[in-house]
Amino acid sequence: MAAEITMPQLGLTMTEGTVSQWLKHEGDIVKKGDELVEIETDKISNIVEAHEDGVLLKIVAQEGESLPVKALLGYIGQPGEQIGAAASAAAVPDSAKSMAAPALREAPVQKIAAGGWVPATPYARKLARDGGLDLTLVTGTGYNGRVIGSDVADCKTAATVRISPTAAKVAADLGIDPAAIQTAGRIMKADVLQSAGIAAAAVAAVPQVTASPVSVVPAHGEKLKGMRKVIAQRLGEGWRNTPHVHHTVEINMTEAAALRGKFIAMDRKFSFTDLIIKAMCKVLEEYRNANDSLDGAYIIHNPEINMGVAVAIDGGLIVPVIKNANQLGLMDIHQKVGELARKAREHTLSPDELSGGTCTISNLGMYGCDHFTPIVNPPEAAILGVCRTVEKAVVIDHQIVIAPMMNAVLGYDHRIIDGATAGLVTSRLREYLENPLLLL
Amino acid sequence: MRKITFSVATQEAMREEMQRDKNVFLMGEDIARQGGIFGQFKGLAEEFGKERVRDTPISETAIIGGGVGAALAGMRPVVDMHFADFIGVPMDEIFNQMAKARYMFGGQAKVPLVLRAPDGMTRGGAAQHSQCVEAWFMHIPGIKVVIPSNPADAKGLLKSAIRSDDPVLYFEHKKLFSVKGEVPEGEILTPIGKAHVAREGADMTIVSYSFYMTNVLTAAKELDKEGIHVECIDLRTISPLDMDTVYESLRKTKKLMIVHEAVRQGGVGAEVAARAAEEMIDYLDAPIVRLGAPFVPIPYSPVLERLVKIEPEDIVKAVKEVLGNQR
Repeated sequence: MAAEITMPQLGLTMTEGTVSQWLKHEGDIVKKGDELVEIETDKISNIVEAHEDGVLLKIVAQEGESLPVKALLGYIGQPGEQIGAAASAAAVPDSAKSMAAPALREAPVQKIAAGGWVPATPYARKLARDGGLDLTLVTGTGYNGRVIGSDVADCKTAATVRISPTAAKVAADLGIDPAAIQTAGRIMKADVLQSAGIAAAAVAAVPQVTASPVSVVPAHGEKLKGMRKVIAQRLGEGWRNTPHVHHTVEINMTEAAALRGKFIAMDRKFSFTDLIIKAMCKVLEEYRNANDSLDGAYIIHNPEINMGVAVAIDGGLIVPVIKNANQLGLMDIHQKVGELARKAREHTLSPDELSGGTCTISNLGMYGCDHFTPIVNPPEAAILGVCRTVEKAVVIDHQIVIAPMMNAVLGYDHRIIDGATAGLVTSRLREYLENPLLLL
Repeated sequence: MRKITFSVATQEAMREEMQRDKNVFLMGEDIARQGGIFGQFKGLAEEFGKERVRDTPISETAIIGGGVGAALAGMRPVVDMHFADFIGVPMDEIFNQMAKARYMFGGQAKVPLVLRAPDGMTRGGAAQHSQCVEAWFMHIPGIKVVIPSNPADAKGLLKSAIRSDDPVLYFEHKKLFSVKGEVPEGEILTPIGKAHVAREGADMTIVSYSFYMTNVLTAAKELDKEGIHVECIDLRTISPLDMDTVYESLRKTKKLMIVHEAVRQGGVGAEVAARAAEEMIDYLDAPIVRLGAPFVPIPYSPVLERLVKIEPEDIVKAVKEVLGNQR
């Protein structure tokens, strides 16, 4: 029996996903674990793998289609197996046939016609069985296109019309009453088109052009896909829609370094990033406005402080989120950052670990960066860019002394955060980092 | 018709049976002195004396053990468990003695005992005083398990339970004790092992019992306004389970939902769903839906407690989800 490929739920919050790219073609032989199709949400892209060996019998969801979780994407089955309702020979673009495909690739396509397996409820099956009705003739209106009892009943009422599912869909699209179509046997797509006065060839030609995979690839071009595509979309959106302002403050890290030294002496390690996360959370607790988000006509006062931490990984960047980071102690933050960074590198972050952020920290200090202007990560309103700590000659109490200095840049959405608020945020951040004992 | 509370209905049942049969007596913690923590034994000690309404030490093992012994010796005890949550203490007396004696003595002995077990969430009862453990006992051959949802059934089922020659577990939801309902004057004997169609409808069958019948019926009224008519079945007894009533309803509605307060995993709903799938697969026109508590201990926090409850709006939503997928 053909198995359904369905839209996966990548985490609790996902309700729908977009089919970004099929990695197999109809008729391809697939093995369990083979990558079948790439799915995208606004947070993440992911690959759906084959759960069994067989042949990709039918692609139901086309690239670019957005579908709810569990929606039908396609079928995997045995070579030559029929899946009935969802597929018919007429639905396969001619281009697929004219390609010099191996025999196996064509086999299922040719045999998929009437009489195959149809998703139906047990009750619908019983009705069809009792009434001697072919379930492939029934259009399913239930869950995932399942044939339910009332569909069979409706079909029996209109028993004089025998029509293939594809033909029924085309008829519905063209607004033709199938009952008005004259034909000897079962109404097929061609009959509907003929009835509509459209030459089948003319229609068939259209998908050939749009579905053609050999479109123009620029020289040295690499298709924008996967993580890079998500990064491109989100940063593009953030930059285009958000009026950014950046504040830079220079922070004396003497005390922070001393504190870190004491911790290390006690065999407890934390990084400056951990301390800066702690300090930023404390600041956000005091200036909640900087933790808001803008959603259309509403300012969302986020009840939680969830800190995103930008992590560079092979081929891009990912921002795992520390939930309720303000409630965590320094060592917990250290442990959580380590865990999320490891998962990021191993590509095992769950979508839930990538969503729900209310503010982000991006540290480029390790790259020797002295200043940069990070782009806020929508719908968040603020991002903190952290630069390297470097020894500088600074004036303290009328004396020139050498001190470890660090620049921190607050990028923010000026629509909902005012310059004065941002100024308070950055100066408070400096106060905390220069006097880290205040964080206790 | 007169309206009395669930608590008073059970008092009436015991009073009538004690007048009818001198072998009936009551036993439990604080039932004579205090009248039971929910008032369900009030006044009976004064009427029948402390020989027949006995306060016990705080030992569930002694209470049930004593009850089983008395029953084997020819008495008809009604024993009270205070909270169903405490029923784990005398478990051996229940499932190895009470449930097995008649079988192991080849029918020469019988155990006509009723075990009253107040269960369910009130508010802030937390993990050890809020549980619904009825499903444990439908897994034990040798015990009947009844679980009324309203005062009339409370009286009728308790009277039938007292007259039963086999042990009966009588689960009663703590929130029901103060609920008033119509109870006919005079003798009522609700049959054990017979479900009740509490409301008729053709669009879906909802099976429930105990306090959640209230929520199911409230949801049914809401759905009525939107033209969705659900049939509501009150199981009343969960062992033996009256599946015939459920099957008959399914032949009409083709869709099944089971709602209970107990955790969904391994609950009564699982048994009902499995039997419906075994016997009625050809009549199912939608996936069977079970609503029950998530697999967590009942939280103390009222906010979290709400999350493990199934309120009428949750039922309405679930029904619409099943039907919505079909329209």
